[in-house]
Amino acid sequence: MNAGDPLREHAQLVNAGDEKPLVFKKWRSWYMLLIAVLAAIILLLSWITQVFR
Amino acid sequence: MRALDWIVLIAFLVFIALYGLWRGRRTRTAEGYLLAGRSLRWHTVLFSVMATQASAITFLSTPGQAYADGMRFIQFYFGLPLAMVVLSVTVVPLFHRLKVYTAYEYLEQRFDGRVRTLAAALFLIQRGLAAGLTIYAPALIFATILGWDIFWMNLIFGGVVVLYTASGGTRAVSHTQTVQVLIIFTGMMLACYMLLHLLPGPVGLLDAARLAGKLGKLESIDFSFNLQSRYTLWSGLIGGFFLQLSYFGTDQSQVQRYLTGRSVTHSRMGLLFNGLLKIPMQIFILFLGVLVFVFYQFTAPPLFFNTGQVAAIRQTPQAAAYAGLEQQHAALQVEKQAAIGGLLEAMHRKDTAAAGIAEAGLKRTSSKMQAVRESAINLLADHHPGMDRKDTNYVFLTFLVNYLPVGLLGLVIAAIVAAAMGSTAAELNALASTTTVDFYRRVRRRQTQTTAAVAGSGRSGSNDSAAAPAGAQASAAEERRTVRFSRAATIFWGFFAVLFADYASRLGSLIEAVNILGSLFYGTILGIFLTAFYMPRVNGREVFRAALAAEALVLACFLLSDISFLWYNVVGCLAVMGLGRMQSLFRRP
Repeated sequence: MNAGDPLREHAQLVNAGDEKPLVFKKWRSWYMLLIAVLAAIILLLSWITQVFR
Repeated sequence: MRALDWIVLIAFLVFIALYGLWRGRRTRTAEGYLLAGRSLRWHTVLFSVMATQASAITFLSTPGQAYADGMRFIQFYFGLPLAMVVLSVTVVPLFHRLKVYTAYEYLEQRFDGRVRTLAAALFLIQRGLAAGLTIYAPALIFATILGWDIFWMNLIFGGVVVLYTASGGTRAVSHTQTVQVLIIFTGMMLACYMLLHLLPGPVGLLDAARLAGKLGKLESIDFSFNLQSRYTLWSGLIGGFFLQLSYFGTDQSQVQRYLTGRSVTHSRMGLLFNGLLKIPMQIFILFLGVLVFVFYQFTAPPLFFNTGQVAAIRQTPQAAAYAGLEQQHAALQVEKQAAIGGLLEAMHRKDTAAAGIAEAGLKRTSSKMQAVRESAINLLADHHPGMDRKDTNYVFLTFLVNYLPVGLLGLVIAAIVAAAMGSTAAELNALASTTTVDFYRRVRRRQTQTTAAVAGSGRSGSNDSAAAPAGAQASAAEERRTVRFSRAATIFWGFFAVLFADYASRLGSLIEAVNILGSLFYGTILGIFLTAFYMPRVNGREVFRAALAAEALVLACFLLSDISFLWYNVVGCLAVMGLGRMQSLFRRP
């Protein structure tokens, strides 16, 4: 990618001076938590569907 | 409703109006009025985002949907946490650093003014109509069950919302939404407690869940990949993801909520907590509907919950036939209760053979009751051919009105009204912001530039030291003018929504068509934004043409195919991106 490339400028704009999240050290931990909670909810609901059928 | 219920409801309305006015006082700058000075903490952003998405229909219709169809609707929300992650990574930091007021402002920086105008205009059309429905839909249900007058309801609730939204702008909206969410949660918790309390003595939460499960009301996940089925795991994860990405990433009524965060961290945390809490909240609301279903296994439900239709048929010669069906229904209810008693007893004894026999008997009786209900609906439809055959929207409110104690009913109704007000306020606020920033300000800037150019050429030798204070004064005056225009725009959109709500009462079945309007446009708008983010080679002219073609494709899908509406978002989005990219590949150097 060359300097002045719009994609590079966009990436710089998004990532420059990133701020710290609450509780965790990295934002990635929050993203993983959300995906894990979603997976857990889907599994739990499937289990409930089976158990109470 | 009794006097105490009215006192609770009126006290709530007065409190919200005064609180909104107080919170929004001393708002003088455009940034203060349109974005609360970008100063709000993450929890205010969170409550504001939640209150914007959850309208009164969420609390009236969702339990009714679970009553009729079980918990399957929850799959609709599975794409939401994924969308929150993607938005937190991309859109939130981008919008913050560009210091935009609206999502569409970014499109002019990336493409050109034409694309910005197209996206903003699509938003104004779709959200302007939706705001009318946000006011009208709960008003219709209240009017049917409680006998309130739709026109006065629209005027009073709409008037209170316009009062504090126009006066205090976004700050007033966000802070009142925080209070509204707390009232909503309190109201729903109390409704849940009352439902459990009203179940017959020996029937606890576990028995209620077992009974609901046996009657198919706890079936939440459908793993089949069927494009025609409205709610499956895949339509929820894929179609829902695109829908939520579009709603939260490109709909100004949501974008404006997280742009008020005091930093990227506060905006992101608001969205991520929304991703954590939204699905559990919807499960809870759907479970309320399941509990209402269980409650009506022990207490005779009305044959049809839309009491307006039933009252109308009682005035006709078919009244006797309808009363006969009601008697049949009541007799079957007694039979059903005996079967339920046998089933619960067998389950307690862990006698699977006896439980199987009782369950088969229960299902047989339920089918007979369903057949009687169908006959009743046919009778009602013969009398009133255009009527809505579904009564799910009326189930929860009918339960509340008939079984909640005095005072508590007023509080739960206040919670539902709070939901209506929160979402309407955010919509009016966003409509006013888009009108101001994406149309008015651009016209003003052009006028100012023309005037300055003319004045500049006329006083080329004048003294510069006098120019600075004069410039600051002019800027302050322009800020005041922008705030005044935004207030006027809020009042205009408020009137438009109330008038459309009144007109909607005459639209009948067209309301449903207007309701899915959102999905017809969201995919295209999302496609424009994703092209802006991830396809740097595509220019404004190409994305504009691609957007028009994609919109035509979505409309063709809607008119000519039976694909479920959640997939329109995927089709529209991918069409814009694909067509935009193809044009850029074949562009002449």
